Parts: sequence; structure tokens; C-alpha cells
Amino acid sequence: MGVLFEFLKTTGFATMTWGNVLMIIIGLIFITLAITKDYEPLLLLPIGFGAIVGNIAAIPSMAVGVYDEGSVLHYLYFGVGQGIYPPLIFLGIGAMTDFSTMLSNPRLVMLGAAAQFGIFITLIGALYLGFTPEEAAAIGIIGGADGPTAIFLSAKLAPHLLSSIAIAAYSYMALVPVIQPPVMKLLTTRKERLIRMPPPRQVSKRERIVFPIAAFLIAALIAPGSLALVGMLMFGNLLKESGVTERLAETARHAFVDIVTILLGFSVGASTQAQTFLTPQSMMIFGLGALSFAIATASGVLFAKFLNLFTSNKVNPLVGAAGVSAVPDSARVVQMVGQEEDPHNHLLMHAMAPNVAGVIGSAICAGILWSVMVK
Amino acid sequence: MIDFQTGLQNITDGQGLPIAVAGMTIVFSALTLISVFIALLPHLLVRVAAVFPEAAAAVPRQRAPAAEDLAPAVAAAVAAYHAARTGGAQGTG
Repeated sequence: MGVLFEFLKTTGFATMTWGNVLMIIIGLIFITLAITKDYEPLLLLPIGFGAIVGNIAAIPSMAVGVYDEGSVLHYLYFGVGQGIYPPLIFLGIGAMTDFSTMLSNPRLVMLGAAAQFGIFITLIGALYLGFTPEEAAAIGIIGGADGPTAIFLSAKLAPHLLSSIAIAAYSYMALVPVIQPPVMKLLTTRKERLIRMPPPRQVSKRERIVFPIAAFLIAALIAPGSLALVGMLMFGNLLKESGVTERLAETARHAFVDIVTILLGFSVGASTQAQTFLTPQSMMIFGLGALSFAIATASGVLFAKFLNLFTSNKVNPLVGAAGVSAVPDSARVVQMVGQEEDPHNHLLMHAMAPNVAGVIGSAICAGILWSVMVK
Repeated sequence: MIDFQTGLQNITDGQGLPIAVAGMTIVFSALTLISVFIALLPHLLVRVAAVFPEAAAAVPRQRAPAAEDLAPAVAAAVAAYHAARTGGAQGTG
């Protein structure tokens, strides 16, 4: 009988707190959103289930959870904690990405730069709220709307905030169709939303091969901290565009990226133990994350309007919203909002240009912040 | 638990504004360079193509047929020849 009572003390029921229950409910909400609303299901479902797994509290002497040295989850989390998974995800993204629309209209690259404004405004906001500069930089990168980049920089600068930052980044990426349209509509007139852009020109194979090498050299020489992210992104793209490594590109964009996504999503979810996750800092991070997404969207749209002051070949300002690098969701949102005004206006292709430029831009920002903060 | 103390002084102490201005300048510079490079790339490649022309779509080289490859054709030709001699004699003779 004594053994039975001792065993009962070790069950999850005995050690569970209300915080754990709340986190399990949040995990269930993520799974529900993924299945019923199709919001970033490839990420929200693993994160949601990971959150459920991570909030089954075990007795302290058992190595079970993410933060318990020697546990299986601890080893899976190693790739997150050390910033290993994000560059691997970038390899897959590179092998999937077609830079042709960006190569055919280079001025749209600047919209990807403008949208990074959200990162630095959020950094200032986080400093104001009392976060340390390293924490503020890690929180600011949420504005890049790039989950892997946010995880990479948090792992380097503020590992204790990693789970909150990762969850905030991925939650807001899933909510791009909800957050972006009001900002886009608020900052544009109907006439601007109706602007049609000429179709992109044909890009030669040589251009597509030279670009990843040159872009990597420019980005990595200016911000060496972005080397791992931009390097893997461009390496993946070169595998795709070279035409001689199709097998490797195929693996990188399918099986490889899927495996890493599963590991990353699940272990990030499992790291959201109530005891470390439900803190006032997390709530502030969520608030700042929403702000940074809105500012990034607004910056891209406003910069597109600014560009239109100087060019006769007008850019539809909606396209600027795709400068946040939530690929391809923000480009899809641009298409959707554009078609609400004119169902025959196809902006998706044009929006992909700032969208992929945003990926490069946020990786460069991560590199800059890392090198500025590391002393 | 971090003791949060909000205030503008935090931004000054953390060099928030210099970091933001420098950061945006660097990002814009990097992406402007990439953008300029992309704009110049087609012109650059035209010059490169003058020296190293882009290979036309590769046509697979046909190897000379081996003797064993020709065997069925030879057999068919011999058969046709014999048939023509016998059949032809019947037809024309």
C-alpha cells in the first residue's frame, strides 16, 4: 500500500499546477487553430502538442522535461538552445525559394529592408520596459516575422526568454492574416490598392546561379553574424538553381526541412513549461511582438508609398506589407487584400520579391544585433 | 524575476537610439548593395556571355552503332533480300 501511495505522489496529477493546466489548454488551442483554421499548421500543431508534453510535470529527481539534463527532450531541445535548427531550416527554405521575381524587380528589395524597422522600434520599446539590451534585441527580432531567425538570436543573446520569444514569433506568424490587413487598409487609399504592376521579366539561369553566391558574400561581409543563416539560405538556393544537384535540393526542401521542422516545433513547444513560461516578461514579450508586427507591416507599406513619389512605374503599396518575412503568408495576404478591390489584380508574384528580401533582411538584422550585443 | 523599471533613461542607458539608427543604416546599405548588384547583373552577364557564351541546350551525342546493335538490322535486310529474290522472280518473271 505504501508503494502505491509513493507512486501516486510521482504521477502527473500530483505535481500538476494550474499553470500547467493553462499551458495544456493553450497547446490545445494551437492544435485547434492549426486543424480548423489552417493557421501555420506545420508549426502550430507540433508546438501545440509539444506544449502539452512539456507541461506534464514530473518529480524533480526524474530526468523527463526539456530542462532536465540527460532527458530525451533535453537532447532534442539542444538544437534549439544552441541555435542549430534555424540554419538547417534556412537550408530548406533556400532550396524552396525562387528569387526570380526579386531579380526581375530589384527596387522591391528595399521594401524588405524597410520592414525591418519594426525590429528596431521594438528593441527601443523593450528597453523602455526595462529589459536588458541583449533581451531587447532578442525580443525586437520578433518584428522580423521570421521564427528561425528569432530562435537563433534568442539562443545567442537571451536563452532564458527563448521559449516566450519563439512562441510569440510563431503565434504572430500564424496570425499574419489577422494582424496585417487592418494596417494595410488603414495606410492605403482605394486608388493605391488598385495599382497594377507590370509582369516580372524572364530571369536567366546564370542570374539565378550567380545571385545566391553574390548575395551571401555581400550579407556575410557586412554582417558576419548572419553567416550561418544567410549562408545556409543561399547554399540551399544554389543547390536548387545549379541544376546539377537536384537530388540534394529535393531532399533539402522536403524530407530534410520536414524533419527539422518537427524537431524544432515540438521541442519549442515542450520548452513552454508553465514555471518558466507564465511570467510577466512573457506577457510583455507578447505585447511587444504584436506591436513589432504591426510596425513592420506599416513600415513596408509606407516605404512603398515613399518610393512612388520618385518613380513613374508605381508600386502597389500593399506589396510593401510582404517585407515582413513570413514566407509566403504575408505575400498571400497582399494578394488577398489586393483582390478584395480588384479580383483581376494578381499581386502574389510581386509580393514574393519583398517577402524573400525580408528573409535576407531579418537574417542580416540578427547578425547586426548579435555582433553589437556580444562584447 | 527581473525587476522591471520602465523609463526613457533605460533607452539611453541601453544605447537604444544609436543601435536602431546604425542597425537600419546597415540593413539598408546591405540590401541596397544587393539591389544594385541585381540591377547590374544582367548587364554584367551580357559581357560575360560575349567571352563565355551560354551553352545551347545540350544535344546528346550519338555514338557510332556497335556491330551487335546492327545484327537485327542486317538479319532483316538479308531476309528481305532473299524474299525479294524469290518473291520478285515470281512476280516479275
